[in-house]
Amino acid sequence: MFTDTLSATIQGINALIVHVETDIANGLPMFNIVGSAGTEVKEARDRVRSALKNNGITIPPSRITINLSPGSLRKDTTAFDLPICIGMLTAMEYLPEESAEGILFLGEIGLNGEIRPVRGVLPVVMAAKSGGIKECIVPADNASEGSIVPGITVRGASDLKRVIDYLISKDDSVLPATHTDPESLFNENAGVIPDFDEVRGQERAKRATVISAAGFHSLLMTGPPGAGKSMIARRIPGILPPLTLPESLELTSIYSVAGKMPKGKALICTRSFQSPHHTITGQALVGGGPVPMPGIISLSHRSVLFLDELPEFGRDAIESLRQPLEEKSIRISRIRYTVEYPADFLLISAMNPCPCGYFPDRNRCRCTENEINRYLGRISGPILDRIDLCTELKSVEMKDMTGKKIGLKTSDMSEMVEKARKMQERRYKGTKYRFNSELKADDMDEVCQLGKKESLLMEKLYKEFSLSARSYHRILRVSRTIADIEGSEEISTDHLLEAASFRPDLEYFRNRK
Amino acid sequence: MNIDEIMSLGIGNDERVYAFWLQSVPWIGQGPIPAILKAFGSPREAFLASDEKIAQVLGKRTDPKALLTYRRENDIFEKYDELMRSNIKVSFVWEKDYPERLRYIPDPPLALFYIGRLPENNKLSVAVIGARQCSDYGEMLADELGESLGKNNINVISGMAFGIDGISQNAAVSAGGSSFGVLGCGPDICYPDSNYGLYEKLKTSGGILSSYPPGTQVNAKFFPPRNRIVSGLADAVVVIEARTRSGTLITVDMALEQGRDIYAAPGRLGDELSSGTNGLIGHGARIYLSPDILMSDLFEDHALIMTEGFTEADACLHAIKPTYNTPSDRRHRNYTGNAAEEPDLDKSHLEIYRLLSYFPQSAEDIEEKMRKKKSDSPGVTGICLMLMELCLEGHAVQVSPGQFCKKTD
Repeated sequence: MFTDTLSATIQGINALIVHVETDIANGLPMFNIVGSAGTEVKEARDRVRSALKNNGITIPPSRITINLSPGSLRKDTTAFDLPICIGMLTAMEYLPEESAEGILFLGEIGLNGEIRPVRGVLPVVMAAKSGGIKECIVPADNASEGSIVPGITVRGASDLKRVIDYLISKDDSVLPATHTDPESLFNENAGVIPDFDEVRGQERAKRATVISAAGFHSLLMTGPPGAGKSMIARRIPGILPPLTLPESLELTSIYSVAGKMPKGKALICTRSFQSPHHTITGQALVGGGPVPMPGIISLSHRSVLFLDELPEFGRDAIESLRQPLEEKSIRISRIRYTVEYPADFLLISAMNPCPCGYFPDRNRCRCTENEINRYLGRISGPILDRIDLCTELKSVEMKDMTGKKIGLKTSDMSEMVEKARKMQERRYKGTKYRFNSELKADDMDEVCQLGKKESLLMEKLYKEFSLSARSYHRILRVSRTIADIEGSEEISTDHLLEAASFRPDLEYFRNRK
Repeated sequence: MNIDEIMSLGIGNDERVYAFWLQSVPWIGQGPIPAILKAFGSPREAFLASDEKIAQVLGKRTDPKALLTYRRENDIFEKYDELMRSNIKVSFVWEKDYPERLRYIPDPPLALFYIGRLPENNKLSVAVIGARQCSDYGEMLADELGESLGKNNINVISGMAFGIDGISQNAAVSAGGSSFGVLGCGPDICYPDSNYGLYEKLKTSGGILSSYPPGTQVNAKFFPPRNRIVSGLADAVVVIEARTRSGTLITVDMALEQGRDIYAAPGRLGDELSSGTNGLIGHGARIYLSPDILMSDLFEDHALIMTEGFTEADACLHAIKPTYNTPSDRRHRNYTGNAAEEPDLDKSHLEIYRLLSYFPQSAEDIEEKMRKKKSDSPGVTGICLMLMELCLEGHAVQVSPGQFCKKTD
């Protein structure tokens, strides 16, 4: 007999519906899975056989063929265990013919029939919803994640027996539907991000982070060890505006596909802070692997990616950031297919100006010119070109730590960011842009119009600091954000000067004779 | 062995090739050359002497191997011809074009290899030396001094090294002056590589000098003898920045031996890079206060020496056009510091400008100073904006992403 059971597989961070077709026919006993099935899928054969046996069901000695359609789509997941099981049970007429109709199944099965969690449940349920499917049965551990999608019934199952019981009885109490309210999750999930009031002094650095967060400008912090670079970076997610529901769903999909969902969490509600160690490989950073998986940059989508000790990172790793920084996503190609993961992250990086860390304080630093140049040379021009802001931190002195002066707090800073974001939202309505940092040179003339005085100043800056065309545009973009923070439609000379003072230029350290 | 003793040997131009040979042996500095000359009377005799005789002359202190191997393995005549064909010139100590100042130091090098030209006897020469890893303060002083010397037609002598050396020489050449780099390797080798630009410039605006023959590779041991030539070519030595135990102070010792005036630029107490120079001042070195004061001292002191000691001196005195009319203009007696000339700025900018110094400060530092003075602070961002304006007007320099210095004129 032939049956058709619904399931799905992940492609990028989206899911595609897969029909699991089962045919049990007379002939030599055989169990075959076809349809571009990867090793994980092929292994389902043994898991399913044992799980059924251990639940008291014997597979008839017949010719069993499973086809995963569309057949050309590569499938590498253990999530087909459950649909294959259900398909066979229906084909064996152990289950009523219509009982599994219109239900999407997903789940890995243990040899005892236990149903184990799988990756990518949220995108699958979303795909099911848009495909008009009314009901999904997923592993119990993933049920709350799946049930975030409104308008579709999601049931969590912990073992095969219960699924069979439910399909026979169709009794809601056997396998109750899971309900989750995203709104309430948002409220209770308000994460604990440390406050900026713990950072004493460092006003310029705080100002730079506000500009960075407001216009989504990538930021480079330099300074001696212990100046508070990491401390500042860690607090940046707190001044970014809270995630919206669509953003949150997108981020949760990425986490889910990557298998990085924190246990017991249904939704990623706060912007993440990813701080990979500098020994990370390019693949781990941007994603990849034989079966592509999202990398750290995708996990920092719409959040903060902090690269501490930037020059210590491998060249491959840093250079692989070029495309994602430009396109806000990363495409990974494999022989038969290409996947794309979103990667719109805020790049915050930190570095010491020299190997010992204390340059230009010559009382402590005795690095030679060559050593300093070599150290700075590890950051390639193209990457530096993609950094909009640079700020320097000085060592914290005792009086700063004990002093009464606190400076900006997270609440003040996020207010400034919010204001600038609103201005950008209004300005870029109906365009391809969202933030000032994305502005391309051709549209800049319109968005960053300068008055006469301002143009003169710009000319002067260009000459005095021997700017390149690229750094010229960078100053314009940053000054646009500064103007937005000040709530000004026009860019003034003050905005330009401030933007220029933050220009990233390692020549400061390098152009010694 | 001083020049008089050398001259008394009566070495003639027909001995050039042998003197070249003696100078080409990879000695450290002059090595046993004086002893050899004394024993054999001339370079040629030494060249023709037997191995045993040479070993005997060199005695126990010097291993004769270096000399003997070099003599055996090299065709010195061919090497000499090659040198003559190349663009590298050579001057021997008994020849007329040999720099007068150098001729009179103890144990002058027999031969001086050079590209470009040799420093003129009739022009003042100042050696500017200091740390390789210098601070912004040192960089600024070296740049200012080099430029002033260059503008006033005074030769800048230095070692073309990183830091103070290269900065002052570059500044002198850029200001249209002349500068001479003395190398610790053959004059055909540019060391350090990164000063290649300067190396090329010196070929036309001065010269590249060395007592080591072409092709000699860099060796740490070659630097102290090189420093002897730096100070030997100069009328005065200015030390910009030096740590207490540093190569720069070795040069100073040699300069003192040669009777040169030492000027040391003062620094803050506690700054490691100024500990050497402050120490020199403590030991009686002259204090370097500004290029102007230095130059007025030089014009006064050396006008005399030059008329008496040098044959071409009369012409030279007229060639020098001091910017100061009267030698009595010894400015450091009523030295008032650098605050004398302030740029024409409005009140708020002037206030910031006055808080700037030659040592890097951040906008936060300046804000704190203002708060201490109880003046109305425009906030860190405001101060930063004004600092940027000062940079644009050429009164300040942004030395790093967050730090600013006063700029010298």
